[in-house]
Amino acid sequence: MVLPPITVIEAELLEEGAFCFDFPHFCTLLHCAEGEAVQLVRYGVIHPEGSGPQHWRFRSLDLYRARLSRRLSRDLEIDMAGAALAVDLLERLRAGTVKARGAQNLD
Amino acid sequence: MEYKDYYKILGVERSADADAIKASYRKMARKYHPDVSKEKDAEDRFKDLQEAYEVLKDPEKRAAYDQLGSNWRAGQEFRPPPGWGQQAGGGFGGGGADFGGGGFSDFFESIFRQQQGGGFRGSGGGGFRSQGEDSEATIRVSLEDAAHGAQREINLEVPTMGPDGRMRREARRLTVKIPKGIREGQRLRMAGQGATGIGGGPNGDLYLHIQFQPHPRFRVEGSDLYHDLHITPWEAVLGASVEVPTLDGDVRMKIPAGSTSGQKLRLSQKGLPGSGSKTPGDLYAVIQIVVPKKISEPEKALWNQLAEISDFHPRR
Repeated sequence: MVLPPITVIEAELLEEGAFCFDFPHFCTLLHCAEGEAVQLVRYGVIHPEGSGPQHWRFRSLDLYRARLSRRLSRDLEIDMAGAALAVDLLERLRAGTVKARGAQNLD
Repeated sequence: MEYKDYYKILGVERSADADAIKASYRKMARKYHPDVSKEKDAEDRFKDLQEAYEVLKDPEKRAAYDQLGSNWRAGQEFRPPPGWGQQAGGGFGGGGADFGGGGFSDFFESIFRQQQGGGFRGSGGGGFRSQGEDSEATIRVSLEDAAHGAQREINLEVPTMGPDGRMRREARRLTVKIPKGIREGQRLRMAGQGATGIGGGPNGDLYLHIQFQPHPRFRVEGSDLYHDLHITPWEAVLGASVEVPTLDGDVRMKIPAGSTSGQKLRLSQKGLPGSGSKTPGDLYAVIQIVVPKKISEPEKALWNQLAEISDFHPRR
């Protein structure tokens, strides 16, 4: 069966995305209460630019990290501190894997 | 449909208590969680785990499941006992709030959803609304596409809720714009292209992990490219002007006289372009002096002559 192609206009580069979401917009995208987003910042899951919720600006990478943290909390029954640690470690692991692949190519 | 042995899936005895079930789930969930695991069938294994835990952690559901008896074997053809839908209290499921996002098996549905009367399924029932899960996939791109930017078609299977309210995998073809200057390991986010939302909820996002295809001529380190440049011994000794490939076509490069194997010659800004305003990487030609394996008699004579007159002694 031939599927009709869908043209995707927007594809944002996660690592270099701009700080484009303000606090209310970020909460809307994440479908969370503001309190939960504040906790995510406090526990270091996400790292907005700016001081205080009124001035915070988030990137798509924050959205990715927040959702990953939620999935881990829900599925592995871990608290936010544990999820924050897991998200950081997974990101480091991913970066390490990429680096190792590059080194392998250079051997 | 096939019978599922939830105890076997969770790796516990039928007599296991709630703590043992929870501990086993947590241990196995860490191993098979799709965000963590590198196992090939992690997603399917994790779904089975979630389903098994959903049943065994809940005393009512577990009791109902146990009523089926212990003579069933995993994978055995299963049909609910006659009158199953009318018995057992109708308290299962809880109206969909426990729905894990990936959809449970037909076996689960046949046992625990018959009491729901369709209230959970479909977008109209119960007012349950949830965002679709994010999806992740890996896309392999060539260095040329990374350097120049490109559009590539990808085929994916994305979890979607069908008209019958059941989650299934739907084939989807997307045209993706690969931004110029993208790097290995970076991720592209495509808003709304993940799993379909439930009950009118928004779709999840799709994340594409970029992986470079191996290139026959270049290796990549960051934004720099490396090329093994094969030269003859006389080009190494005398120096030469040789063609070197780049992602934009061949260029000529001067090999200095007296070059040795392993030496790197830099072609500035001929590596991968920087994304945005970043400076492009460099291309390093790594010299590899290659000697002929077969030589003619006249060549042999000349090499002999060179050996006789040369006072070069690298081991002294």
